[in-house]
Amino acid sequence: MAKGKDSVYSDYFDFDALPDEELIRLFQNDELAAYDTLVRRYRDQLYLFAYRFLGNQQEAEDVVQETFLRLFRKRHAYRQIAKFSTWIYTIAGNLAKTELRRRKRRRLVSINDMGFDEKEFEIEDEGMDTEREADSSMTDKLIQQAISELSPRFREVIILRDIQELSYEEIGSILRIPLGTVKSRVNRARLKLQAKLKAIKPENK
Amino acid sequence: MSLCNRVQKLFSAYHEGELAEDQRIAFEQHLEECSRCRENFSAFQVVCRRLKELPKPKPTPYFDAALYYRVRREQSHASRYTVFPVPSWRTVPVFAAAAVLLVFLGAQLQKAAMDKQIRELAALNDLLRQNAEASAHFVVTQIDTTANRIKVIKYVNTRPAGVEWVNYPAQASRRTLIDRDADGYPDLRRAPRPATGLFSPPSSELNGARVIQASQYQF
Repeated sequence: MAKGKDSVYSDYFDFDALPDEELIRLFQNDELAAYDTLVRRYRDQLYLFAYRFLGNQQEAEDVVQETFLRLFRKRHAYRQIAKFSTWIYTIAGNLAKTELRRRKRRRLVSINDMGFDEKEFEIEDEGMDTEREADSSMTDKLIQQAISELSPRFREVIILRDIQELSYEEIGSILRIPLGTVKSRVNRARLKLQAKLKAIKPENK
Repeated sequence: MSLCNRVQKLFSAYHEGELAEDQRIAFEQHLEECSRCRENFSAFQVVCRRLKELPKPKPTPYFDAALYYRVRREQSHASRYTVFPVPSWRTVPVFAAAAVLLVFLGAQLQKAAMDKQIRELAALNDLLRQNAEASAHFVVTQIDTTANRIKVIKYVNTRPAGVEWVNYPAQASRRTLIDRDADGYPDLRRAPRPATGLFSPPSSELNGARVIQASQYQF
């Protein structure tokens, strides 16, 4: 905060070392390198969220791209009262939910697509560890499929908590729900997922 | 609510070690006695573990390029004065602005000088944009009339590659200040495309950035 607008352009920053809130402030002063740093910092985790939420690589990329475009366009809408991570996750989450509704409207995904027919179910785990065995990857697919069958409100909490490993407090801020609600919703989501995943046996791994 | 249902509600809290001591003991005691809850909790823990083990895919290699393209398009669609906003009163009739100036003459004199500079900046940058190459362009961010210098950011492929104050002779006109120089831009066109990030130049490029020099302009 000590640096005025003049020094924003005069100096070279080690942008990677700056906290999110400082970067967005620089970006609000048209410092594009700060935008780039934020993109690199959040790209992978937002993509992971969107990918697990939507179960589709292309849609996930679209959502994350749109999130960053919104960040670009609406940089001045951000106020320092909120954490940047919360703000950007809220944008991505809303866009992902919109995408889900749009998909339903367009009927792009039929019941069969979400069913157990593997040919129809197109999940490509690009980042998958090559050492994983075939039956394990099958389980990954089944887990993703079960996640996709959860309603959006359970889906988002389980992704944020168990896949992205955010704290309950952060999840509460992103979803704007009380801490107790987050905890009980996570528990219910896990139980629902467990019910859907009876195929996974404890001795599998 | 049955005891089993109540225990189920505590699965996460127990799994994450958040139960109070007495609750934890009661929980474990119930699990010892109830084989169904024991099995359920075992499966619950497997699900939690498997969720953490799920692969964490990354965006395709084209992600950055696609975003970069869209951001560029966004920039070019934006108003020509987006970067250096010109006050909205520019759009109202001139006599209205003149009336305002008359009424608040003292205060407005300084403001008018600033606005003039902003317009000057916008005009400079418009001309720079017209002359910009695909690979490199400059943006003038400030004019310091007291010291006869302008602050210039060099962008390579829309990424800031250097910032410098450039002195100019007091009598230089806007046109001579930013006219394209035969030696300057072709060199910049050969500047290597940054390997990382959307806008950030690699550090070598930062250090060796060929920043705009006043001598490159014919005043």
